[in-house]
Formats: sequence, C-alpha cells, structure tokens
Amino acid sequence: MPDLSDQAVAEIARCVRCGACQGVCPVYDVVRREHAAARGKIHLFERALAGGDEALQGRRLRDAISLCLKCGRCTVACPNSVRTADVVRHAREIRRSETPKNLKTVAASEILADRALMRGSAKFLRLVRSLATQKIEGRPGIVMRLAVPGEGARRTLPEPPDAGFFESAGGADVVVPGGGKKYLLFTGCVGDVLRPQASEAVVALARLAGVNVVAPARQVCCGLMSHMTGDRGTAEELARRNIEVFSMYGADAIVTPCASCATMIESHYPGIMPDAVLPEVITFSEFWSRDLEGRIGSRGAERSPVVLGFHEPCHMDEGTKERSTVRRMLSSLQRAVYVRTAGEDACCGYGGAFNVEHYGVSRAIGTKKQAGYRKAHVKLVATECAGCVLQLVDVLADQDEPPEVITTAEAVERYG
Amino acid sequence: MIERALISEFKKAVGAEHCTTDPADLALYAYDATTVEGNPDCVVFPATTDEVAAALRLANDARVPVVPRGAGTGLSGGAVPVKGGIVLSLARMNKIIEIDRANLVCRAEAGTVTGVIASAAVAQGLYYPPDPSSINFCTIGGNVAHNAGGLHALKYGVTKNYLLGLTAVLPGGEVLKTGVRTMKGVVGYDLTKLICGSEGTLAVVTEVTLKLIPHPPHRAVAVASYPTAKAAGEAVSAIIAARILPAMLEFIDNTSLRCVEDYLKVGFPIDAGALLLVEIDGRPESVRAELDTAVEILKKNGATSLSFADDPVGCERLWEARRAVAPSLGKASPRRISEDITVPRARIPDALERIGDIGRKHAIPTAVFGHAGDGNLHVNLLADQRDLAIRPRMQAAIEDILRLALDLGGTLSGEHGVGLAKKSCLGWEIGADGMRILREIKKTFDPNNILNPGKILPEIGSE
Ligand SMILES: Cc1cc2nc3c(=O)[nH]c(=O)nc-3n(C[C@H](O)[C@H](O)[C@H](O)COP(=O)(O)OP(=O)(O)OC[C@H]3O[C@@H](n4cnc5c(N)ncnc54)[C@H](O)[C@@H]3O)c2cc1C
Ligand code: SF4
Ligand code: SF4
Repeated sequence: MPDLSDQAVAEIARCVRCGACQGVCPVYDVVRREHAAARGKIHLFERALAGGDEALQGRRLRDAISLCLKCGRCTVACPNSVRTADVVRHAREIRRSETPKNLKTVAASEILADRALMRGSAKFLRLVRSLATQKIEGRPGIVMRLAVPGEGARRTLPEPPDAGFFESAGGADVVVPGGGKKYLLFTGCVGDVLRPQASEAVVALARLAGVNVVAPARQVCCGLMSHMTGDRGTAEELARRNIEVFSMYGADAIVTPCASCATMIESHYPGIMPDAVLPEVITFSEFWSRDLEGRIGSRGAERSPVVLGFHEPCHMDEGTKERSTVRRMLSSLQRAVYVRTAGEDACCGYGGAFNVEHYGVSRAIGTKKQAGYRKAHVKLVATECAGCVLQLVDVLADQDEPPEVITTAEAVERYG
Repeated sequence: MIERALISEFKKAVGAEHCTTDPADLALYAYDATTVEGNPDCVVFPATTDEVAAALRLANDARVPVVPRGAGTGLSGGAVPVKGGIVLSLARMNKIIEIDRANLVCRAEAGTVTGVIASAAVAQGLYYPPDPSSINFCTIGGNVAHNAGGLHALKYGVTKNYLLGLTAVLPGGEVLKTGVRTMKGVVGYDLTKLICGSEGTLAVVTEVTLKLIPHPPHRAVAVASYPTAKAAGEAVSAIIAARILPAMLEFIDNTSLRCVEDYLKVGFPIDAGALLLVEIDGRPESVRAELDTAVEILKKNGATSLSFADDPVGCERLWEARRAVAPSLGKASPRRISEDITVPRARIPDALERIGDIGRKHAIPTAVFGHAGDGNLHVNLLADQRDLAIRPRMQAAIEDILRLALDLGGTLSGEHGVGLAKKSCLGWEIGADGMRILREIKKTFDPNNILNPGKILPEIGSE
C-alpha cells in the first residue's frame, strides 16, 4: 500500500490513544471491537498503511476502513480533533485504486452517478415491485421478498412514487417565480426519484411564500456516496457537472431538503474543485427561517394534532444554529406537536455504502432509535436528510405501529 | 506462542467469532492509553461470567497469562499484555442488570461504560458520584480494578466507597461472589475492597453491585484565576482549612489551561498562572451561602478574576473542559509522561513550588493539573519519552517527583495505579513487610501467576 498523504499522517500523529472516541462511536457501540472506533482505526493505519507488516493488511484492516459512518462524532469528542473520517476516506481511495472493486458499493456509486440509469432504475423498480417486494398491512413502505444476503432480515423500502420529481415535470426545469433572492433547488437523488414529495413540498411552500426557486433538471447526484467510498473519479465528474449547472443559473443560494447533499456540496466540492465559485448552500430549515417563516400562513391548529418526532442527521451543520433552527421550525407547526425524544440526535446508522456493506451493523445501530419514539408515542418522524429517511423507514418498520418517516419539508407543508 | 489446540478450546468456550489471533487484532489489543505496547497471542471476548470462568480455567491449566481489559483507558499500562498470552476483553459484558430504586443499588456487568451507569442513575433521580475524567468511555470493571477517583472524589469519595459487592472469577475458574447489597456488612475479611484496586492481578471482575445516592438538587461552580500556581495552591489549602467541603476543587496550571482552551474555547483566561474550579452542591440556599464563603476566601488569596456557572449545562461544560485537560496536553507533547502523586492538602503550595524546581533542575518542561482538593496532582513531563537523549533526564525527574510526594507525607499514585509504570518503586512506599503480604495475597489468589503477570509486583530480585 502506498504512503498515506501528509495530511492523513498528520491526523494520525495527533492521536494520543485516550479512547474518548470509543464512547461516542455508533459503530463501536454495536461491534465492540477496537477497529470499529477511531483509536483502533488510527492505530491500525499507522502500523499497516505506512508500509511494513504485510500480515496486518488482511480482513481486519478492510473492516477498519469500511466500518465507519463518517458521522464525525469521534472528531468532536477528540481532544486533539483527529479527523478519522477523512483518514478513512483517504484509505478507501488508496484501497480502491489497488484492489478489486467491491461490487456492491461500486454498483451503488455508479447507479447514483448516472441520472438516466437512476431514473430508469426507478421505473424498473416500479415495474418489479410487485414481484420483488410486497406490501404488508399495517407496515409503512414495501418489504423485499428476499432477505438481505447473509443477514436474514428483509429490507423495507419507502413506497416508490408513481413518478419522479423531474419525470412529472416532463424532464424540464421546475420554476417558481418570485421576488427577492433566487434559490436553486438541489433535489438530490432521493428527492428526485425515491421521495419526490420532499422536492414537491419545497416547491409548494416557495409558491405559497412567493419565493423565487428554480430546480434545474440537469443537476446530477451530489456524489457523496462516490466520494465516501473512495471513488474519486466519479465524485469529481459529478461535482464538475453540478458546478457547471450552478454557474449557468447564477443563483444567490442553493437550497436542498437533504443535509448530506448540502455537506457534500459545501464541504467537499471545494476540495475536489478548488477553483470553483460556489453559492451558499443551505438546508430546508434554514430556508424556512429566512424566507418562509411567517409567510406561508397556517391552516390553523388541529383539535388532535399528530405527535411528531425528529431525527437529527449527522450531516446537519456542526454549529448549533442549524440544529436549533430545525427544532424551532418543528415546534412552530400548528397541526402537529413536536416532542423531543430521547436519542433523537443518535446516529441512524445509514452511512450510504456502509448500509450496503454492513447491513447487519447498520440495522443494529438504527434499531436503537425505536425506543425513544415508541416511548413518546410518536406517529411521525421528520428528518432533514434523504439517507436518514431511507434508513428510518427500514429500521422503524418492525416495531408495533411504526411511525411514518418524512422529510422536514413535507412536515411543514403538511402540518404548518 | 500458544498452541493451536488451546486456541480451538478458547473458541469452543466463547464462540469462534469471539476469539481472534488475526495479527491486526493482536496489534489492536497491544496498547492502552499509555505509550507502552506488547502484543498478546490471542484476544477473547466472553459474554458471560461462565464464559470468563471457562476461559480462565483453560488458561490456568496451560499456564498462559491472562490480561483483563475494560476499555483500555488505563494510564499505568495495566491492560498491556507485556508477557503475551490472552487479552480477555469485557467489552461485550456491558449491560446494566438492575437499578433498584427502593434500595438505591445498581447492578451492572463489568464492561459497562461508567458514564452509562451514571446517566441511568440520573434518569431515576439518583447519583453515582465517582467520575474519572474518562467517565464517558472507561468501564466500571476498570474503575474497580483501579479504584478510580474523579472530579467529585473530594466530597463523595472514590470507586471503593460505592462498591458494595462483586462477582469475580478466580484464575482457576471459580466464581466468587463477594460483599453485600446492604449498606453495611462485616462478615469476614473485606474481599470486595481487596479486589478493588488490584488491577486485574487477583481476579476478573464480571459484575458489580454499586451504591447510589440521591442526586444533589443544585450545584454551582466558581472559576478563579491566579497570577501564579503557588497562589492558587495557597487558596486550595485555605478553603480546606476553612472547613468548606466543595463537591469539586480542581487546579489547572497555565500550560494545561492553554491546551484545553485551544480545544474547547471555554473562555478560560489564558494568561492566568493557574485556575481553580470550585463546585458547591446541595440545596439551593446552602449552595449560595457556601459559595459566598468560598468566593471570599478565593478573593482573599489573590484571585485576579472570577466567573460562575450555576446551571447544569454550564457546570457540565466546565467539567468537560477539566476532563479534556489530560488528553489535550497530548497536543503540546504526545509522548509525555504523566505522574499521579497525592500530597496532604496543606502541602500543595510546597508541592507546586518544588515541582517547578524539579522541572528546571532537569530542564524538562512540566504541566500540572489535578484534583487539588484531595491533594492529587497530575504532574506531566512534557518531553518525548522515546527520545533516548532525554529519557534519562525524565527518569531522574520522575524519581525526584515521587520522592517529593513521599517526603511531603503523600503517596505515589492517587488513582492511576501501579501497573507497569510504578512497580519498581512500590517498595519505597509500602515497605518490606507490606511487599511480603502483597506477594502472599497474590499467591493465594493466583498460585500459577497467570493473571496479569508483571503488573503491580516487581519481579523478585528487581526491587
Ligand atoms: C483522558 C483520561 C482521563 C482519565 N482520568 C482519570 C481520573 O480522573 N481518575 C482516574 O482514576 N483515572 C483516570 N484515568 C485512567 C483510567 O481511565 C482509569 O484507570 C479507568 O479506571 C480504567 O478503566 P478501563 O476500563 O479503561 O480499564 P483498562 O485500561 O482496560 O484496564 C485497567 C486495569 O484494570 C484491569 N481490569 C480492567 N477490567 C477489569 C475487570 N473487569 N476485572 C479485573 N481487572 C480489570 C486491567 O487488567 C488493567 O490492569 C483517565 C484516563 C484517560 C485516558
Ligand atoms: S479521541 Fe482522538 S486522541 Fe483520543 S484515542 Fe480517539 S482519535 Fe486518538
Ligand atoms: S466518523 Fe463516526 S462511525 Fe466513523 S469512527 Fe468516527 S464516530 Fe465512528
């Protein structure tokens, strides 16, 4: 294995082995082995990646590299701010360039990368859903008929819509005229194909408030999945194409219903394309506080409002501002009561490729979310990340009376 | 090396996927929070007391060393398998078995993270006070093995003060239940307290019974800065002498506070020579009154600035800052050496002054912080202990510091334990008769010397 980059070496050198990262790592909490948390990963990278002992380069090193949700909790807890997620991503890039591709994650990265394929696969999904999946009475979503290989559990997916967001618009841009700032709506793959209701909600609310929003049909996947699996080539290509679209439209800011897409564009595009000039990127709740709050009216309070819980995505801005804004937004809903539940800020365990590669661990992390919602009798869980939606649909499905999972944009549209 | 046949026996005892000899795994269980390393030959992850017993029986029959491991956050090399053999990790034994609200007792498996127990108690309006700075990631079994202390030891005591009973497995595989679940009990020698602090050399703890107390209704923290470490030390002695018993009384010197401020940005005055964190808890009225008295004393002893926190979030933030001091010193010096001396509280100003002298004498920069209220000072030597040119000077400085502790009527280690780090000077403090009894106790528990060999007790002849 070639040398680590200077930056990765510097991260590794800062680790003092205190173990603080173990106390916060959602993967460690389930796997309970050193290589799951940052300290063990760092130690193994130090010993194995920096050359030398071949014997250390086996399965455990692969596990150490792949068993990470990149949630960033270890970095926050680390007194020396060691950025393990970055080191892991770097290790994945090296691995990917050297070893046979992991078919499962490559397939995921490449399907997402190809919008035509992605849209095609949505149609395909609808076609085969009666064959491969089934609807079970009393359970949200649709359930795969076959168990995930090697896991014994059957995956639950959100019910596919009849048409994707751009598909409904005949493949054209979706435009909401309005005054003031011009926003670009970045739907993300999920907000286009799997859960267009999220993008539709943003559009409907913008229309109500008279805010100028354009959703360019030529946008592509943000590339986070490719970036995180170390597929640098695909990530670069996607970033390049999106940046081209952004510059064509010249918006004041980009708004997206998904915090993960926002993180990718805001935090990783500058690294991938250092010269690009990017507009500000905000997620839906920030958009609400700037331009929707007080302007979308209300349908009045409900006599028996639905109990709504929240799930905090790891990719919400680390700054507390965004995290308190989304809660203020949910508290303002007239037709739903937002209750703070225990563990609403715990990781859902999704992690994109992580969920594909380590379905069992991913699900075990996610299943822990059930207790808090159950205790508060939550009927509906809102979150601001597409990946979290997919995961929560799956992991909450097998509790009694599972709550429905929606995006925060839909929550405001339905219950504002 | 361990024979293949024995490995398959271990696999049978704990399940094949919970026993590993993968070279990468051996590297991953070669360390704790110190810089010492040593590979084991095999790592096992039992899930029950019975599995621990089975593993110990096998190891004992084959005379293979067994090193118990909690979270590997120890600061004396205790969990490092310096003689190879088996690392026995309790990471999978992490359940709280019960919180008995009627009797204020908690039972938990040894691998449970201490902070998880503390939060579960708080959720019931109860309090488990021992809170080592590693509380959010160390295990209760490790705390018992080290008799860990914490920020609140001054008023509330250390792990052993809350330990009512244990389930522990002896090296031969016998399961021993010690102690009581009552608040008193004097039947026989106190085996519970003997195992507490034995650093995994006498038995493997698998389950603990802990005493809980009602949660104090209110707390407030004052942060006072002083121009010099010595001035702050004098304020500590003055508070103790004034018969105030703060819940916490912590000392942070300038180097330490700069490192932690760099990490957490709590707003500490980085030009202060030293800071004191003084916490009072109890009923709101009494907290206010006692805090006023404490503040008077802090001022009289030359505090140059004061700030306060009296809400749970503010207090938690200050604890977090204090807890981050040790690891954030790693930024200043990743290969530093950290000592853990404890002196009588009236001697703190002397100790601080003489530590400064020792650092200057050996030309080694120092940083000092710690639980000043109970006399426990973490003296850090900020130099690279792997650097052979500096190492002898560091050794000499350590010796001076340890001698200083004993000179002032103190002890070599307040809470981090002996482990590997201090076993060569154990005899200085406890004397020849003490050493003999320690050895005999060890032999009675572990006649084949398989449990954590090479820890605490120096090899015969090397004293
Ligand atoms: C940042 C930081 C701050 C710290 N602050 C404090 C502090 O304020 N106060 C304090 O007292 N300590 C402190 N420590 C030291 C350390 O956290 C404690 O000693 C803790 O009790 C170790 O627990 P562990 O689970 O990590 O044990 P390990 O490090 O895994 O093991 C420590 C010793 O206990 C033995 N052991 C572990 N589990 C068992 C068991 N179940 N049965 C028998 N033997 C066992 C091991 O063999 C070893 O000898 C700190 C450490 C760090 C890294
Ligand atoms: S918290 Fe940071 S310094 Fe401590 S062990 Fe983890 S990565 Fe290393
Ligand atoms: S980023 Fe998250 S999952 Fe990855 S090591 Fe850190 S805490 Fe664990």
